Amino acid sequence: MIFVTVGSQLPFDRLVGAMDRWAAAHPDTEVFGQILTDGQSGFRPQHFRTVRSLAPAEFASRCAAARCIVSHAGTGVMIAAMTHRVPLVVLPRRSGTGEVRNDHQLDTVAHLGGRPGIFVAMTTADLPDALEAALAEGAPRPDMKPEADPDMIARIRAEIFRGRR
Amino acid sequence: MDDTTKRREGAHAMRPPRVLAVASSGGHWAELMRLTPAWEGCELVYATTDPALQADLAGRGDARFVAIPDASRWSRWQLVRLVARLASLMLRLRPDVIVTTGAAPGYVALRLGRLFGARGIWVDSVANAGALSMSGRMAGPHCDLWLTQWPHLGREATGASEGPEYSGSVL
Repeated sequence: MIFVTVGSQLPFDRLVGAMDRWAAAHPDTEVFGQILTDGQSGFRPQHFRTVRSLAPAEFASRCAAARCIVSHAGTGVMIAAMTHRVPLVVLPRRSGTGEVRNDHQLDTVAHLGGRPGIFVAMTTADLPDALEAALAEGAPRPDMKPEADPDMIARIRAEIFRGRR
Repeated sequence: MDDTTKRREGAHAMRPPRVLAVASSGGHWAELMRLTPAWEGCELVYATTDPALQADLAGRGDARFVAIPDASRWSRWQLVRLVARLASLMLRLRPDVIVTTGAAPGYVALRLGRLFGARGIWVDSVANAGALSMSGRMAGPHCDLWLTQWPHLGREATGASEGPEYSGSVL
């Protein structure tokens, strides 16, 4: 199953539309989407099953079960993909289109896009190739340490305990 | 100083710090969860905008959880509700430290916490790799520890006297 998610804040019709075209061309591959729209308002794909939102536990189990996750370039889904070691394809949201308020997702992919197992599609035209790379046999899987950098944890801990002992 | 006072002050110094950890749902919360070793041994209250996230605290000891209104779009009514909820929390909990990974609700909590005498720690989201977030810039002058997760945005790299520190990232 390919799990498409747009995060928890705003719909992302550009991504969902591109995945609808991809699903139409790949009828044998199951695609499931969490898209924050319900068909009453906003775009609803014709070629894969969707829900508006998922409870955190359902979101985690969808991520864990997916062959590949396709999403916006949000840190929540990046952390989820790294936690479950599932290849991730990201399409950054762009401002000026109602997708997001600013272009921070372009900065995010510029700095995190080089990590193994994170495949960046800068535009919807790049999405099929990025997906193919993510679905390839032996594609790298994203990974991370179980916790934040020890230096960062120590710095915060020192501030919390400042003035004690 | 009599013995009773001494004992009382000793008890306060030994009492674990009371920490209010705040984040919006989504990436902000996921980042906060990766920082939990920083407050191991503290008395913890977590606050976030999605009540279902309480499930993430299973197995994390006896930390308390509260749901707070979201004010991401700065709607006036939501902001009023958020301030009221956080102010009542501050009164009841009297936290020693507010730590937040953003976004808007974290900023409001940090400002309110300071009014109630708490120290504030702002961790700007790792998503903000090009520039500090707007809430992060606003939080800077009002916090005791101001962190970015990108070395090129830290004050060592920028040379700015006023700016966030860099000491690593959640990833």
